[in-house]
Amino acid sequence: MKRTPLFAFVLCAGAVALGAQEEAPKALENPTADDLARGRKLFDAQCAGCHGIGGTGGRGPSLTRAKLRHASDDQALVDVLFGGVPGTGMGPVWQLSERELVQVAAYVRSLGAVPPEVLPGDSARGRELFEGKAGCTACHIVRGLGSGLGPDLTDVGARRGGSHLRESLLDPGASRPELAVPWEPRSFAAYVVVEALTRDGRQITGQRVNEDTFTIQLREADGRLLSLKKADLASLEKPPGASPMPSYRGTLEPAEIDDLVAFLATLRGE
Amino acid sequence: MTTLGRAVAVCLGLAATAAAQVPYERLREAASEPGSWLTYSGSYAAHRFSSLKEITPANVARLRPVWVYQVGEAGLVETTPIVADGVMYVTEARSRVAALDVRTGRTLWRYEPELPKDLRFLGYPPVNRGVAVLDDRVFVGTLDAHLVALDALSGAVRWRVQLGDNAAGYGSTAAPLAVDGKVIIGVSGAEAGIRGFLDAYDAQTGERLWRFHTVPGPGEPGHDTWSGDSWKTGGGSTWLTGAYDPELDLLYWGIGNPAPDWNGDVRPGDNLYTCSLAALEPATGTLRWHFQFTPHDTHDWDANQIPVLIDATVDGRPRRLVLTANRNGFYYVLDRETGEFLRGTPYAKQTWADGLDSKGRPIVRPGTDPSEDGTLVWPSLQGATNWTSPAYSPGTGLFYVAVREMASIYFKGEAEYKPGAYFMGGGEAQPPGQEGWGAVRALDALSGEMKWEFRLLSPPWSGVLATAGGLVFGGSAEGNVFALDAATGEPLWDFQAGGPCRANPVSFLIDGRQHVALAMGQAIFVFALH
Repeated sequence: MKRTPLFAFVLCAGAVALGAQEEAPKALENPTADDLARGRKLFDAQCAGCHGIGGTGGRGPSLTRAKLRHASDDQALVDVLFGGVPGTGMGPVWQLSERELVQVAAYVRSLGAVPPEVLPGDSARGRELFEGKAGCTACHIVRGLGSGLGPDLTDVGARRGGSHLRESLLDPGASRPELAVPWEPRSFAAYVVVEALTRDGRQITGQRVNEDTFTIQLREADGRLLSLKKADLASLEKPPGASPMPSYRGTLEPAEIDDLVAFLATLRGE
Repeated sequence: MTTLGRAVAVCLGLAATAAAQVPYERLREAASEPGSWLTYSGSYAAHRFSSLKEITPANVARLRPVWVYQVGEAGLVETTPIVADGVMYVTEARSRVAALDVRTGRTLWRYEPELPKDLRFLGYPPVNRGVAVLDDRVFVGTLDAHLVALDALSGAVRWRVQLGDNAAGYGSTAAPLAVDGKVIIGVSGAEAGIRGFLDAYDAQTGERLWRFHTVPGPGEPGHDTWSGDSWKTGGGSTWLTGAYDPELDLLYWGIGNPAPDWNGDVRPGDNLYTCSLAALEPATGTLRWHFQFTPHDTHDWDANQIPVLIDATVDGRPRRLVLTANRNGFYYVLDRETGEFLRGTPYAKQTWADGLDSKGRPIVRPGTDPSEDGTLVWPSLQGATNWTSPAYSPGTGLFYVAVREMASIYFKGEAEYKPGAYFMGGGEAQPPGQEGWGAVRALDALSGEMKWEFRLLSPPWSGVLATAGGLVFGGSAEGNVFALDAATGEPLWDFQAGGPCRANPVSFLIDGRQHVALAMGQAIFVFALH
């Protein structure tokens, strides 16, 4: 069961879109304790579903850093809330009033003052595990090396906090990465396990790369691409909670899990 | 006049009649002219039904694209094409109009209105859903809340009138409706706290003939369903094209949600005529009757969905009916002479009402209003269906509707009115892990009972067309165009167009051959049998 709270925010751009209208409000210069409290309440209700309670990350990136990738200063952070980040699952936050929006931005900015997590584990040992016993490079690329079956982890430490990284190792089906797509629900669950039976009796297991009402594109464990018409399938299942990635619970010692998490947390891209 | 002069005059006269002339009589009989598509919903009865029979379940697998028109600039294309006398009229983002040669898709003329730099479109993208044609003119509503009459031959502006102040949030995205000598046009902007209205203009001169306020002012009937000054910013957009019964001489127009959308505390009362269907006399704009689907709405469930007019026997008596699948998840059958509620039943998952009472008023479940911490409700904010068109087939007796199966978590928040800014009082979020889905559903028109369902991968933003050939056409948000058997829902043909569908299909003839057109992504595709 996920530890993140119930709610996640996705823009319903079909009903609402910010267009060529007034500019983003001005960031609060001196947010009061009330502003931060209100910002936190709104954040927990409407943002934490993706970004985690306290902004520690989840489906969306961790925000507990002084430097945020898309928000170099306070106004840029307000701009991100006002306009979204195109090409990602972060859409414009149209539903907050101007005052609420700058309060949430002030709260998010305050998360950067939170001291960085201290993680148990040895990142050097973690790297050895990553490249050796845990076999991660069979499915993941880091800095250009490995296999592209699973997500590129080159900057995963910048995007995800320690508890999410741990969850990915112990319960990978709990929180799948998502890609932003232009159709509802706008966040397309990636790496979904698909089990299909063709009409001529062939059993297929793969991960979904794309899908529409009539077709589905899968990648098998050996990387082979299958492009299937649903009319040719006798059944098509997406077992809930399944993941192409195995769980390392029991396969690795708890200390080894700690080491891997410590290593992944060092992967912060360029 | 000399003999030559007379001959020239005769020639010019012939040329004039050869050009687009769509008098009211042709619009009135549009259902009997299936070679054209003369009005937004195909006919005044709004069936979105083509009586063309060439394409059938037996041969639709041979359907292929014949030509494609690509819209030049980025932006959602939500247009329903109009086809008349060899010309296809389409609209694009930012209220642009193009007249195309229907045989080849080549452009004949374009109209590109100059829109203000600080254009406001609050609560909707900068789209346009289509034009109206009447006589030798083409009418379009623009994002900056103007109605423009264009010369059908050349696209030149005949007249242009202002509907409302765009700086206060008024805009127009709906296709107008042309009736006898008049153009009826609605406005958008309830998310900015406009006071909505429906207008009628003289097609020749652009003079405003009447205005019906969807939120009644002091002294007007229904005003007592508002308190204090909340009526001034009451919302009630009229942003979809209505239907018309020439025999009863009544217009049927859907009205949108009240403002602020999710915070109903500032506007106690039923909030008439928001979330209602209004029957209006086209000569004067007088309200004959209304039916409210969602009193005191707090979920943004606009009731603008297309009203479909059919005549049928109900309980042994011939009745004139209006059918509508509402955003709130219920399908309604009303008497269109009186507004009497006859039937209502859910057509999608809904968790906010324990049914409808004998007058059709919803029995609202406690605890389904938006809240600060969020309230989970089906259907979602976008509704069980949204703006896109349903279709009705007299052949099958079925009402076809594109359904969105999705929930929302509704939040209540601050609502402070500022002209030209969002006035919504909250919003919505998606429950994590919920994968919304969609469907085309066929409902028995009189009972609302579902006869079949064809599932779509994601909730659709596109409508359907029914044909006498026995097919239902539609599009998906993942780029599929498809044809279903109208009687069984079996998928018979599909085509991947490469861009999401946000529009409604039409059908017409080119050189005696049946064609189907649908805007997909940034393009308009036209299909015919190979």
